[in-house]
Amino acid sequence: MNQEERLLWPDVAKGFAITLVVLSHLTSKHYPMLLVQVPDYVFLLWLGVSDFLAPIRMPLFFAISGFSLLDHLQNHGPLFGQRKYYPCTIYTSYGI
Amino acid sequence: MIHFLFFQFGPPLHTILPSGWFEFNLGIFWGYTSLWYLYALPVYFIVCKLAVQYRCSALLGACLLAVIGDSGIFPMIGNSASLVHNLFFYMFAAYFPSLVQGVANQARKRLILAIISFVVASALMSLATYFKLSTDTNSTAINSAMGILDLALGFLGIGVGIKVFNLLAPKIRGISFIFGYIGRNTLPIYVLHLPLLSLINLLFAETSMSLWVSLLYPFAALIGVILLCLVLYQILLFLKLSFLFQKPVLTNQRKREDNTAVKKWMVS
Repeated sequence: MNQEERLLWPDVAKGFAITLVVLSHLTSKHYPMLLVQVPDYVFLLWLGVSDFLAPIRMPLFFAISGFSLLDHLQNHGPLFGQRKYYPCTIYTSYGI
Repeated sequence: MIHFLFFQFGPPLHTILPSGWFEFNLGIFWGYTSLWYLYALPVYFIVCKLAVQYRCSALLGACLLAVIGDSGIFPMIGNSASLVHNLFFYMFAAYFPSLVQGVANQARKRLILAIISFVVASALMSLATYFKLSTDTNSTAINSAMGILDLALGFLGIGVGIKVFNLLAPKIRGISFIFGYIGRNTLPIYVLHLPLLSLINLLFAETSMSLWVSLLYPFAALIGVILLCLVLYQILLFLKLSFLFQKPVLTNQRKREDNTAVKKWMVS
């Protein structure tokens, strides 16, 4: 399997999305700990940047994850009766 | 579990932590803490697999669920609202990959219009959220309307993201290589970044910063944290602890699965 055949944009998009997730946690969970030292408007600026990109962050991450499901949906048969899906099914069922 | 134990006894971080057995179960088996993605992905997979024969109805159902979750009619535990909200995007891309690929293939078409629409809509949505929070508005109708707008905005964000990255990825090789590598290693970054952030909290909590340093600090910290996550991941792999990042399997079929896992991203 040649690595060059792999589509580049889903990896790049997913990489950007997870970077935004880290930025979001950084600005909302870590940056406030520095508030004493950081001016309010600088804090709000970064929080604003993170908020502004929020519609890309999680939707894009999950859309790319869903996009990668194509093979499993089409070629791997039904959910029940396949041992490889058991842990996932048990885990999800217990959660629900 | 390791994550929970770390935060029970580790450095401080503003995140949801289980306070008892019930909440511990919620954390492991439901989208309760900041690790809710790990629960969301198997749930989404199961739901999509079960409803594969009823794609359009399932997508409509996911849309309704998202709006109901955002409306505030039912109390949502922890990050459950996000868990319900994002099923729609995952399901859409899983059921209609040809549309996703179509957007990517026509990246130049209406790109500027899409970017401008996204910038304006996202700015307006941020303002609306700010006013909603500052006026402490909690009406079901407003929450539902904002939930619908949020779905539409997320949809627009996906379109813009796909177009931009498909267009730029082959042209800016260096940045594409970096984000591509990050994109292929999202799990260790997602799992390890919060414990690392809490450790950095300890290091920098009392540090004084000039205006310029405080302005640039999040950018530098972002690069540092992601880099540390990737290095730590490589160290854990070197120490033969790769099982920490692998899904559980009942049979000895991991090698066969690994060989077929990325076929859907391959150009036939």
